[in-house]
Amino acid sequence: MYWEHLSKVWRSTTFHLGLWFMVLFTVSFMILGGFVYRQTMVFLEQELRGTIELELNQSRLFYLERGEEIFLGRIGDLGEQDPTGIYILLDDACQALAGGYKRLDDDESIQEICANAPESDGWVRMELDIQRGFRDQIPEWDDDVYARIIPVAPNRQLLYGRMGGNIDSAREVVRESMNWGLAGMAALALLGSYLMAGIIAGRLEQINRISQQIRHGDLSRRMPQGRTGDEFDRLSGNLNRMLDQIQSLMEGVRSVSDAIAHDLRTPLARLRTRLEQLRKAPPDELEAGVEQSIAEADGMLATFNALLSIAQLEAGSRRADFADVDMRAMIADIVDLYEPVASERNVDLRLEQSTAVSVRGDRNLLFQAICNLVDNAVKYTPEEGRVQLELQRRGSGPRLVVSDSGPGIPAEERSRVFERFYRLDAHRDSAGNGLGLTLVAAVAKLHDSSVELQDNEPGLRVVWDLPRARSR
Amino acid sequence: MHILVVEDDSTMAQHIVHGLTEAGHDVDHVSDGRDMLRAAADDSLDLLVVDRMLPGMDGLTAIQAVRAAGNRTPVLILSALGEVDDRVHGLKAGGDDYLVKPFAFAELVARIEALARRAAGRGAATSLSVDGLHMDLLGRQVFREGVEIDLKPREFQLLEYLMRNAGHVVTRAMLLEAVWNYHFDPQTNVIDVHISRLRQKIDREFQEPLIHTVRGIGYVLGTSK
Repeated sequence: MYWEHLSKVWRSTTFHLGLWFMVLFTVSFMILGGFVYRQTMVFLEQELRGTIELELNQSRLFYLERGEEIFLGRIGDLGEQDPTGIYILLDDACQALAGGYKRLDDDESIQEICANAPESDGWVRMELDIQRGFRDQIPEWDDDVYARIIPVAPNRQLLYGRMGGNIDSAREVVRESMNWGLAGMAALALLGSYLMAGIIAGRLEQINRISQQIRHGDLSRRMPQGRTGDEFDRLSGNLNRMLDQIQSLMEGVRSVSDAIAHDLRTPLARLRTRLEQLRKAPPDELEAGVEQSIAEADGMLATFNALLSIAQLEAGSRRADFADVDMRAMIADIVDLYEPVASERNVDLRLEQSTAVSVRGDRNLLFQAICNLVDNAVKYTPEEGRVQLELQRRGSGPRLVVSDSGPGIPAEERSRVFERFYRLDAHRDSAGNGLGLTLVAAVAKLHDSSVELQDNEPGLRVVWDLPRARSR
Repeated sequence: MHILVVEDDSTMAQHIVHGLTEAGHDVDHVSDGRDMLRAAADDSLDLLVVDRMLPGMDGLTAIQAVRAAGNRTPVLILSALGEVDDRVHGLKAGGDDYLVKPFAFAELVARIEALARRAAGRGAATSLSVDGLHMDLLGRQVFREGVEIDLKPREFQLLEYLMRNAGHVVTRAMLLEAVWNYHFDPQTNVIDVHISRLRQKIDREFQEPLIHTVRGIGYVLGTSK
């Protein structure tokens, strides 16, 4: 189990990324560390040289003021007090006259050092042979000595040097801390990549596992979603919405097939009974009976066609036919088409307000959908009633309002009337297949718009916010 | 009429061939696009009925090929259920009319006959006459037995379409398409009410009715059914 987890982490992209970052960070850490190291060294060396120069200047003044004898006594004292410093008085020929030249390391001769000094502006490096007694007091007793030689008087040069103990110990400290830092960083990066890979792999694994369960048929499962809104939450959210859609589509399919089975069984049974009776019917009734049967079958075919059109609309595959449609002309056509039906029923069908608006859409579908709305309004409005069409131009796009003075739809049934075959109890016996508003909803959805049913007090008010045309 | 039916589904093909033969037409049948190209070369053909989906060569491609060869024979495209959106493509490819399966057979016959008449009478007539009903297309006037009948523009268009197809059944969908220029099958009685208004003006004052209802299908204009 543990090994399995480890190998999964090892194979994970995140872990590999983490490792690459580790390499990247190590390189940049080394560059940075090198820079800091160099700057520290330069700074410490400058400080040391500053101290040496200051001491040399003071000593020169002392020599000039007090004379050689007192000066020699003083450097002897100073040499004893400070084992890390060294004074040597030389003549122009680089012969040591006094001072701690005896403490020089055996390999080096003061003449040589002194002779080479002018090349580097008097600055020299050397090593001291520290006496045993001092060694306990100086931790870095084998360090280099930074020194400078300057002329103090005719035929007299003075050398003053100090051990670079600080520089060397700083060098050690920086090196050590860099090594530890590198090691620590590598360890942390490794641990971080491992944890990160573990977390990410874990979350993806969760999604994988749930996908698998869903694939095996448990459509109710959903991806876990945190509150942080990070990319995983968004991924889960999108997957969940997709699953919701799949589920609702599947439920839709199920409820449609249920509805079809239920609603088409009745006319089929009726058709069968009629045919059964026709078998024994006298010849003079035969033709009328066949006519009726054909009409019944045609009705069922029409219902099937309507169902198929709706299904196709809901699948959203017709958008290719979209063009800009002149809505004002279309509304005028609809009023023109329905005016005779309305006046036959003594209903006042009126185009109340109409503005020139264009809509991006499918002309035939929009026409059919609005016809369905007007058809319902005219059909369910009692005599002497009114049906009103309005076409408004609003900031968000064109709006179509179809309102009537009929009985309306109870608020609690308003969303259900868009379902297939759903019919209000009061209208169950009137003509119609219960698919009219379903088609309207499907057309509206295809046009990325929605139809809202409102109370017209009294009557029904259908509000459809249509998609704006592209060219305006 | 000599009709070529191109349909791969044998049941459907048999159904169409049988029905059209019964309606008095001379019908040939092929079942794929390649055979259709060969058969369409026959000059005596008056009309093609082509299924949208064919094995081997798609129906629209076959129609395009026929048109490209300079063949102007009218074509009626049949499409499978729910492929309504193909109508535009079908007409663009060179089809003259479009019908969605399943259809009432009467609708198919009505459309086939209307297509043939459209193809035959391509000349621009200035007047139409049917059984004592006279329509002046330029003056926009209608007379029956010498009496002028006052029609609204839509009624005029409806009557014009009926007269152009006199003696033949026109369906409600055909009327909606011809007069309002929207393509769908109105399941309600909107068209019927328009026809009944027209009928009031054309037939009420006269003994012999001219506009007849064909149950379950549509209307026909003429003194004899």
